[in-house]
Amino acid sequence: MTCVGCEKVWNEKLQTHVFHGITLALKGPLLGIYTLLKWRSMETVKQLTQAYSITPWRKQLRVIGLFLMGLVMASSVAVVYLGVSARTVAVGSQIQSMMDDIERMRRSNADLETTLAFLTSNSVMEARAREMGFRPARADELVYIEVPGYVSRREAVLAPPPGLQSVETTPFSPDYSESLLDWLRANALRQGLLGEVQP
Amino acid sequence: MNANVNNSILSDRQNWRYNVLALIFLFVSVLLVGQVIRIQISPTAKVFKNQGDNWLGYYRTIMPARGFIYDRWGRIFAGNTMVYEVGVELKEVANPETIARTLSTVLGRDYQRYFASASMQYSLDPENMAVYIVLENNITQEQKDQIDIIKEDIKDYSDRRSKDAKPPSLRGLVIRPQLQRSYPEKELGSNIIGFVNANGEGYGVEKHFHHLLAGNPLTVWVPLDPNKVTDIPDYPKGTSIVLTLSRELQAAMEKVVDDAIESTGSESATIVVMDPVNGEILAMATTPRMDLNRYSEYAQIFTGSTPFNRAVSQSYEIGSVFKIFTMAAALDSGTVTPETVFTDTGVFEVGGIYIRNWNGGAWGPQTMQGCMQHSLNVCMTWLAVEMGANRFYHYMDAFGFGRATGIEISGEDRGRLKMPGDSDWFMSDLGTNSFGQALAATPVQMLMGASAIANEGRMVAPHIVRSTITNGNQYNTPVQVVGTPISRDTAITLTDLLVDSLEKESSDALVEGYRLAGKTGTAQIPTPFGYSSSETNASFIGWGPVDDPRFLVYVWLEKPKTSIWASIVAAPIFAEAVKELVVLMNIPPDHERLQMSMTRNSQ
Repeated sequence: MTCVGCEKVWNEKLQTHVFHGITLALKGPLLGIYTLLKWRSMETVKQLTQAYSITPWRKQLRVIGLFLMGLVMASSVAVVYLGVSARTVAVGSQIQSMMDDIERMRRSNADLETTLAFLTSNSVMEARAREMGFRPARADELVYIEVPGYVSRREAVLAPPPGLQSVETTPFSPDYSESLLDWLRANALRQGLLGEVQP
Repeated sequence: MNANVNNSILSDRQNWRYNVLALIFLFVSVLLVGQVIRIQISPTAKVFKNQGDNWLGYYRTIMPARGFIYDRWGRIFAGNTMVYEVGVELKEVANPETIARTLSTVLGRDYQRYFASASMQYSLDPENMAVYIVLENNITQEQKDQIDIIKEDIKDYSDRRSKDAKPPSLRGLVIRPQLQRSYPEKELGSNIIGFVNANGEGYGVEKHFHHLLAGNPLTVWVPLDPNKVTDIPDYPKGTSIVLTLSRELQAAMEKVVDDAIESTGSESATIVVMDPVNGEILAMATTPRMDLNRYSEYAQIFTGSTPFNRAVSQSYEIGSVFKIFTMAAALDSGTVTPETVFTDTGVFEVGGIYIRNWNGGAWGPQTMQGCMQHSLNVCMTWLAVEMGANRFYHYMDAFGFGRATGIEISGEDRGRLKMPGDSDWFMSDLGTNSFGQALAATPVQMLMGASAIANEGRMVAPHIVRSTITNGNQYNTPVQVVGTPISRDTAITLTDLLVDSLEKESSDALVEGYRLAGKTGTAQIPTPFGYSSSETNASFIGWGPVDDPRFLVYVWLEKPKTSIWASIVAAPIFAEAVKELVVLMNIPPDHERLQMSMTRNSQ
């Protein structure tokens, strides 16, 4: 029985099998090599890992060390901050206390001025003068003599006239209110570092 | 192998616990943050914020110290002394009985009142708010010291016997310092200085300048956080005032006033001394006076309608002193000259009434000097009629009558001058006004008008403030020339005429060595039934030395008893005042002044 076209089919199948055979022939060793290499490298990594691995207590120590370092740094910052804050608070408290002192002294000054005025009032001075044997002079008892250059009694000048302006002062030095940035800016400007062009 | 497994299990368990713990912390943290956010965005956030802000600080109102009042030489007339306010912080009170007993012992006041106040229940209820109660306002330093000693004693006692059920304690008792107005000169110048009460009502310069003296209250934010302490702005104290008064002159004039009342039996006496060149009031003495430190006694001293300062607040019918203005107007308008002769028949009809002289007599031919010397009402009426009403009142208006002078003392009376056109003015008023009747003026108005005559025509406004001290600067009050109602020549002519009148009359107002000008005035006092014949206002106005006037003095005696005539009671008082003035103001007699001036010019 003759099969028309069977030969062609058979040939194609044969070609396919041959191709697979060749492929297998080639793949088998490569896979082997690959597997071998993979095994070798894992072994190497394992060996390396084992060789260089750190013991758990070392790891903990490192973590603790890092934590402590952070803690020390934070504490240092906190200590500095607290120190500065405490000083600021102390100074602030002193300022408040001084302001109260100023108030107290103002009151005290007013009180002393008025007490002095009581002690030198007209009635008191007159009584003292009489006790000392003085009496008011009469017009006919007076002798007038012209004294060259004599400056007669002047009326009270208790404050400067408005033309003479006193320098305004503040109880606080700029050191207490000036920030570092302000200081730098002021000094840099003074030295022309910021390059402001003067006309 | 087992160990590894166990370790692994332990590790897993630990991890699980750590994770749970972490979750709890996370949960709590989220809750906290969530709550914070919820509070921030809740409707009550504003309330919380306000409550929080209350603890950041507080607003403090600073009341500046009241300005001082000085005399022209810088002596204090009104100052401030330290006193203490006593109060109780009800929340802190531990033993009200101790507080009440201590205060009643030291201050000598009612125990029950203190006890009731200190026992009150602390309450923040807006309707029955009871937080702090003031018990006393002005206790002295000595009283405060006594309370402090008791406080120490009680503290020791409490330390020793702390087991008592309710140990004695002054907890809650608060003593705060404050300034109180004080007047070192007490009665001296009291009618000028005056006072103000807590409501700002009062008298004198204190009242007139109350707002200036008190200064502006300053409200500042005081942070409780010392980190945020801020500079309290430098607030000025109230304006201080330097008066034109001289303490010595004031004391001397007050003594003259007191002596005058004693010697004449007058109901009251007033002397005002002004510098006629610049209008400065050098002294203003009147009665009654009071110790300003005890201003609560005001009502007992100033009874009825008694004015606080008669020189400023009480106008009266001036009488013949006013004739200087009629004569000034007549001379200045050219109606007469000093040599013009008027024949006095003893009576003059004007507006339907008959004007007579003070003694009812006819004085025959008189020059203008004679008219002034004898103070003839008939002559003055004739002058006013000759001038005509319009011209006469134009001059009186120019002299400032009927208007306040503007002196810086509260309660100034503007007087009364009826003018043609007023519903109550009649032609007869022209006659009576010419010799000082049917009009009213204050001593200060009289001084202002007379300054034009003494000061060569320049009329100056009387003022009591020499300078003010505000914001650290002293501002002087400028001289205010308020007009020139008469010419320089008229002023000089009239002054000479008045000098001659005094000298020819041999007036008791004369002072040896000094050339003075002046005029007496005896004014009957109007009553509902006509003018009183037994009661008068005796006045005198004069100035000197006439070639270089340094003082202008007004004397007013109300209802003198020894004599109704000003020439007898008021003129000597003027002389007494001048004798004091020339000593205290260092004014040498005329001949010595002339000699010194000549020596100076020859050098």
